[in-house]
Amino acid sequence: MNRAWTLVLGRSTGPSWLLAGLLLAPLLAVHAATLQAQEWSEFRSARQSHSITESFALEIVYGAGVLEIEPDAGELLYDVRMTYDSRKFKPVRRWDLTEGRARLKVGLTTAGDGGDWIEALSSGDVDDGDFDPELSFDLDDLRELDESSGTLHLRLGQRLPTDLKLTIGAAKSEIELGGVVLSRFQITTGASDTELSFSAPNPVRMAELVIRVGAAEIRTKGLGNARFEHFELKSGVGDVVLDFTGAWDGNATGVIRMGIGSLKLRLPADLGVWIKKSTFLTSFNAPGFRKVDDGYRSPNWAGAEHHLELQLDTALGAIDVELVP
Amino acid sequence: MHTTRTGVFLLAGVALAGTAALLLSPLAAQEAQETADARDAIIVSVSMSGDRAALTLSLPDGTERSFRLERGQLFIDEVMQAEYEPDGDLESAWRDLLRSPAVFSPEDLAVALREWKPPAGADEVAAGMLERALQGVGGGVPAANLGKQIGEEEVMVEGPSGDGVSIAPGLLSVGELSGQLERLHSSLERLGEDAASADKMLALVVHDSYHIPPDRIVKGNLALLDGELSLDGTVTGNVLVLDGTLHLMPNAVIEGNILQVGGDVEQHGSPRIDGELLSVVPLDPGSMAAVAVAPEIRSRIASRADIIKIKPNRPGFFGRIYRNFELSMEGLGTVLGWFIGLGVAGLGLVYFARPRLEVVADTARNNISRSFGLGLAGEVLFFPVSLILCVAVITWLLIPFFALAVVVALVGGYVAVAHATGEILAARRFRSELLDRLRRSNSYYYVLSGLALLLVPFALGAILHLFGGPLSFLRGLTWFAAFLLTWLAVTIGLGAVILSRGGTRTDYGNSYFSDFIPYMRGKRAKEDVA
Repeated sequence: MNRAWTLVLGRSTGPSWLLAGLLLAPLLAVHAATLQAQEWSEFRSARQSHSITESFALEIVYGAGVLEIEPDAGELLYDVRMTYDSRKFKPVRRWDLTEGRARLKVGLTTAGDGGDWIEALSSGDVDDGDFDPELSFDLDDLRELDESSGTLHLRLGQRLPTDLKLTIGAAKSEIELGGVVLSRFQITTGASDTELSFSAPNPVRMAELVIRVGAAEIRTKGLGNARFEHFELKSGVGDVVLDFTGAWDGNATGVIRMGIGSLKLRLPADLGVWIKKSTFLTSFNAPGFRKVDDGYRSPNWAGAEHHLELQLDTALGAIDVELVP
Repeated sequence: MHTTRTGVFLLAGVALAGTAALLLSPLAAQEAQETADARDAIIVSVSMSGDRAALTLSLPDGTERSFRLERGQLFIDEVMQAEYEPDGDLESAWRDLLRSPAVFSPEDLAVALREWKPPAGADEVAAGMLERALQGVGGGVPAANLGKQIGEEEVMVEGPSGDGVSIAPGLLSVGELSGQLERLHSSLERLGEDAASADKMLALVVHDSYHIPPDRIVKGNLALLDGELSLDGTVTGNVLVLDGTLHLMPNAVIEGNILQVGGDVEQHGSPRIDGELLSVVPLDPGSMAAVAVAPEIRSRIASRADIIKIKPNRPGFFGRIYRNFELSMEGLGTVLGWFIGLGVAGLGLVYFARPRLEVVADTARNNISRSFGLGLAGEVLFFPVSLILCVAVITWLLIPFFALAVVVALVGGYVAVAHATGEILAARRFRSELLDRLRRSNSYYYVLSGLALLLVPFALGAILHLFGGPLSFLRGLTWFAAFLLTWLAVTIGLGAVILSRGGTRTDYGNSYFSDFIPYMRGKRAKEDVA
C-alpha cells in the first residue's frame, strides 16, 4: 500500500499533488476517526472453588492478543481477565455446575448486532449437547490485520482435577501450569508464538496432552512434570521445542506428526526412550541413541525405570534429539 | 419496561430529622420543641412511580397523614377527594415538590408544604383541596421532632415493594438516589439479562465511605454507588458495584455474586465468595495500557504487532467505501509493483540480451501452439525432475542451478511474450509511419507495452473492488481471466525458451507474422497517403 502510494505520488506533478491531497484528506480523517473510536473494556470473571467438589472443565477460546496463564495456590477456581475493544468484540462465557462438576467456556467473539455481551449468568441454562455454540473464531478474520487487540490473563486454581482446553488464533502466549491438577490438556493454536511450561509436577496422572499447531512456534519446558500417559503433537509449519524433562513416575507414549519445520526433542537422560520414525526428507540427529530394527533407542532403555515411546511422522525438516543429564 | 422499573425505584422514603422549629408562630414552635424530646422521630415517606406520587407522614403520636395523586384521583388520608388530569400541571407541580430537597429538611419541608401553590387554572377543585390540606399539615408539623436519625449511619426508607431499604451513610436526596440507581440498573444490563434484575431486593445502598463490621448480616442485595466500602460482614445476596471501591475484608462472606460495572474491587485476605465475581468495566482510553495491561505485556503487544492485530468487525457505510477504495488502491499498487519489477527485468534483458530475447519472442509469436505444448510439458516435468534431483544425493549441487534456470526461463519467457505482444500491439495500433518506425523498432517499448497489456486484467480486477460486493462475481471472473492469461503467457514463454534453446536457435522464429508486419506497415502507409 505505501509502496503503491509512493509510486503514484512520486510521479505526480504539482497540480496532481494538490488533487491527491484533496482526495486523501477525507480518507485520512476517516481513518483517524476509526483509530480514535477504539473503546477498551475490561472483562473479569472469577470464582472460588467452594461449591465445586468433583471436577472442572475449562475451555478458553481466544482469537488474537496476548494470552497468559498461571497457577494460583489459593481458594480460587479460576480468575480470567480480558481487555478488549468493545466495538469489535464481546466477551462470552458459559458456566454450568451440575452435581459438583463445573464447566466454563470463556472467550471473545465478534460483536455482532443483537446478541448479549455475556450470556448465561446463572447455571442450568446450558445444555450438555449444546455447550459451545457461538464461540468460534474464524481464522480468516485474522488474515487481514488492522488494529491491535487486547489481553487475556487467566489464573487457575490448583485444587480440583481440571480439563483444560485452549483454542488460540494468533496470539503471543505464555502458559505456566506447574502444580495445576490437570486430568487432560489440549492446546490448538493457529499462528501463535507459544511458551508452555510445567514448572512443578502435576498432582495427578494426565490422561492426554495434545498440542495442535498450525503455522506457529511452540516451545515447551518440563513436559515430564505434566505426568501424561499419552502425548500428541500435530504441527503444520513451524518450529517446535519439546522438553520432556521433569518428574517422571510412569511410562508414556507419544505421537508427533509434523509437516514442515524443525523439531527439537530434549529428553531426560534417565528416561528410557524409544523413537520410531517415519520421515521423508527429514534429517534426524540423535547422538547417543542406538539404531534398532524399527527405530532408535536410548542407551538405557533396558534398565530405565520409566519409558517413553515416541512415534515420529515428519515430512520436511530436521529433528534434533538431545539427552539432558 | 425498563423505565417503569426504574420509575418504581424512584419510590424512596425519607426519614427526616430537625433541630430547629419552624412553625407558624413562635408559640407553636416552642410547644413543638417541648414535645420533641419526648417523642420519637417523624417518618416522611415519598414514593413516586409512573402513575403515582405520594407523600406520607408518620407522626410521632402514631397517626399518619398521606397525600397521593394516583391515576387522576386525589387521595388525602387514603380517602378519594377529587379528580384531576393525569400528567397535567397539578401532578407535575406535585411531583416537583416531592423531588425537591425540601423533603429532607424539616424546616424546608414545613415551609414548602405551607407555601406550595398549585398552578393556576389546573384542576381547581383538587388543587384547592390539596393546598389547604398541606397548609394545615405544614403549619402543624412538629419539625423539631423530625429527625432523631440525623447523625445515624443508616436510614431506613421505603423500597419499591414496600420493603425497607437502608441508605448509608445517612441520607441521599431522592433525585440523586434514583438517578444513581437508574444508572446502576442500566449498567447491569451489560452483564447479561440475569444480572439486569440483580438490583431487586436491595437491602442496603451505600453512597459514601462506610464500614460493615464482621458481625453484621445484610439480608439481601447490597449496592455500592460510590465511596469506599469496607465489607467485613455477610451479605446474603449480591453485591453490586456501580462506582467507588469495594474492599473485601478477610471476614467478608458474600453468598451471591459480585457484579461490578464500575469502580474497583479489592480483596484483602481470603474473603469467601460463593458466587461469581463478574465485571465489565469500560477503560479510559488513555489509561488502558497503564491500568489493564502490565508493562511487560504492553511491550510484548508492541513487539508482536504483527500477530496481534485483527480485522475490523463491521465497518459502517463510509468504512466500507473507504475499505473498498483501500483494497482497490492496494490492488493497483500491487499491479504497478509487478509492472515495474517485470519491466526492470525486461529492460535488463533487452539491454543485455536483446538478440536472444527477440528470438524467443519471435518463436513464441510464430509457434504459439508448439510453444504452449512444450511449456506445458516443461511445467509437468518440473516436479519429477525436482524430486529426482532431491532424492539422488549426488545431484544436490545441481538444485540451485536448476532452480535458477527455471526462474530465468519463466521470467524471460514471460517478458518475451510481453515483447511479442507489444510488437503485435504496435503493428495494429500506429498509423503514423514515423511513430510507427520509431516505436516498432524499439524493443524497450515492446516489452513495456506488452507487460502493460498482460497486466491490464489484474488492474481491472483491482478497480472492481471499488464497487464492493455487488460486482464480486464479475471481479472473480476478471481475476480468473487474468490468471489464465498469465498462465498462458508463462507457459508459452517457457515453451519458446525451450524451443529456441534460450534464444540461440532461430529456426522457429519465422512465419507468416514476419510478413504480416511489413504488410500492415505498407497498408497503413497507403491509408495515410489516402
